[in-house]
Amino acid sequence: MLSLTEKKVLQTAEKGSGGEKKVLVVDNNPVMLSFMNNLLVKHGYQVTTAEDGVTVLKILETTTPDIIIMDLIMPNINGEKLCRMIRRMPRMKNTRVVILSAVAAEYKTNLVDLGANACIAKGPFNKMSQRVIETLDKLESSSAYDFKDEVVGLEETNSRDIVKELLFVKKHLEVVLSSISEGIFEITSEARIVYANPTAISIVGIAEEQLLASHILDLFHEIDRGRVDNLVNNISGITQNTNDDSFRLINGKEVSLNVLPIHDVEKKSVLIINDISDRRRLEIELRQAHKIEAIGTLAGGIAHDFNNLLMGIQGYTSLILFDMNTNHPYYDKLRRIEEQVRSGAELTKQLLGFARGGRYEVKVVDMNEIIDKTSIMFGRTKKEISIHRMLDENLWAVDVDRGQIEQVLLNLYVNAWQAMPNGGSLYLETANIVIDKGYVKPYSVKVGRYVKISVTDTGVGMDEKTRERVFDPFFTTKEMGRGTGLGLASTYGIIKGHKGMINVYSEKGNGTTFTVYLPASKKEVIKEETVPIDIMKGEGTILLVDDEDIILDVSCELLEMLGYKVYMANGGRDAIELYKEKMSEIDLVILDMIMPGMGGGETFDFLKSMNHDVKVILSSGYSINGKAKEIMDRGCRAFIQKPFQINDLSDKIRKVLD
Amino acid sequence: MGTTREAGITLKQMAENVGLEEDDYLSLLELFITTSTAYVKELQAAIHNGDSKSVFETTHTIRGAAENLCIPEISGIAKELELRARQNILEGAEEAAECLMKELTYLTRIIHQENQYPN
Repeated sequence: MLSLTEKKVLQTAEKGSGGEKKVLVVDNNPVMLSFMNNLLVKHGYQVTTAEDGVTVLKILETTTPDIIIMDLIMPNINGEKLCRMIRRMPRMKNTRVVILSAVAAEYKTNLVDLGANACIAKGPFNKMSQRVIETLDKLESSSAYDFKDEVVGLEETNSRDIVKELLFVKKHLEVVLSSISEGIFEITSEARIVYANPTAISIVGIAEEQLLASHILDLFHEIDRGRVDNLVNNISGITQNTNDDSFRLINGKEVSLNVLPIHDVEKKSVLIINDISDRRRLEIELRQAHKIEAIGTLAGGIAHDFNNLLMGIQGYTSLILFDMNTNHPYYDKLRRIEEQVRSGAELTKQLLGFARGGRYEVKVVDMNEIIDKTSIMFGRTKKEISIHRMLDENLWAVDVDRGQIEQVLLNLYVNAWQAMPNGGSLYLETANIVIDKGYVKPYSVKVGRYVKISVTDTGVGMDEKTRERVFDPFFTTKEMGRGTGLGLASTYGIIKGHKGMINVYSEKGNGTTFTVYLPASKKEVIKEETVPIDIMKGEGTILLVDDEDIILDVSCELLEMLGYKVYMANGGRDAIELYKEKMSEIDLVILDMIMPGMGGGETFDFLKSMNHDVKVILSSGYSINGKAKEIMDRGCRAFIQKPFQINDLSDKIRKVLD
Repeated sequence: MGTTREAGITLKQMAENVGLEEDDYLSLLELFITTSTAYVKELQAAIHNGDSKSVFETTHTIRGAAENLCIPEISGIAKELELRARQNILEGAEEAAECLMKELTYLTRIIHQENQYPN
């Protein structure tokens, strides 16, 4: 339905004839509008009137006036804003704008900058009539905009102090609204936007001239329009505060919404929108981190029990093979068992990695060197993939368990290879980066210097659902039996264990990038040479402590085979008793870390209180949140991961005893 | 608050003061009375609610129109009320609003009388 003003517009337009200049007069005072209408019609102008900026914008959709005469102070969209908007419309480039205001002299804006062609001060009608007609005549005779920022007829105006005050308050409120971090809209009772602060404009990403007078619902995603409409229409004198969980979508952003009624005759409302996209992203990531942590605890428990079983199988196989002739009919079968144990151990290693099984052998390393080594090795086996390395020559060192980080990289390479069944490119990049508070929040890591490692493939990419679950253990997109779903889960766990972060960016059909952040070390890299390990026999007495009988039995036999005398204790308390009794005789203690009752850590502390120089090798199929490292830091000499092989065991013992 | 009335002023004189034809002035005056009566009712509600900001804005509008039409009795009351509202003083505001309403009634009476006994 048309408003009275709009009806008037149509009637006037119908009345208009060829030679008449079209004038649009804008003022919220009906007396002023009536006066101007009478005056201008008498002088042969075709006049249209409007009471506010919203009506003007509607009129300008269909009409291009020759002259617009407007007040500066008006409800909804004020004259200054309206003038700027008109000047941004290419259609209006020949339209003359005349400011008709009682406050023009106090307005701290340069009227020329606004794009005005003349300015007339309001005053008694007899004086105004003359000024208006003279000014319009001048504008008609002049082809160029020759306005010199002077206000015609100031001498008759009065009460300027009040006006100054009014403008000061208004300007002050504008500054306040411009500084607020929330987006603020003022809307009419018909839900048309009449004000938007800079934050609101930035959130919606629409220019102010297009935004004003448009319908608020048009800004929202169509799925949210019904809910927003209800909210806007149902305000009844109380604050409508939507729950933050019930977000709405504007311009691809998630926003919370508050609607507040304005208690005035025009029944306008204020909408406050908050861009909560970042907060919701953090919440999702935090939820994901908690979920993975819970599953990790479960996975770690399974890995622990599984490793103990494997230790039994590995130990007895080693014992049988130790003095078996290679021609023996069972020799090859036993070697096969050992291979299967190794595969099983690899699987539990992945599980433990996911469960953040701890960093057992932390050293200062150069990630570029590890990436070079692992990617060259990987490239040899996957010729269909071309590998591109972009490594920062001045990369900071990192404190990592080299074996675990190699495992992380290989997992990421394998994942990339599987995403590129027809070949493609693998981009490996390293860089130094300083990370701030906002970024690290969901990851529970510290701000500061990090080494960033990016692994990018040109493969099939992932959709959002896959991306959300990519680090979940046992989640795989491969057919049953092809993937364990543990590679990326363990990668996640290992990086968390190193107090780092990992995230994934991927789009279906456009490849994937995994980015790993590891805390930079304060130390420098020390180069080490690795040598193959042989079985080394020795002499001495060892106290073997474990709560599992099968581990005790098999380890005892292995140690005796290596030449050592062995005492066994099936728990912490037994171990203390035995050590008290045989302390002078015992050269070394091999101590299980996780035991019921008195655990490895407590047992170690007791042993150390009895003998400060006690030599202990910590052994476990399990470690929680770097617990192994804590005990190592208290003076334990070495760590051996179950299931271990006889050569590893002999090597660790010799290193500690020698 | 009060005002000095020019005793016995006619519509013709009022129109001459503004330099308008009497008919034109009359139509503007009628519009002014209608809109200002509505504004004064808004003003009374704002005074009742202690909303000095609205009092300030409404009297500002009334004063502007009264000055345009050269009605010093009304612009004078409105200006004083506006000044006081700016300082959050609403004491005596109800009486001032009442005076404005009386002035509007007086103007209505002038129009009525002259319509009954045209010059």
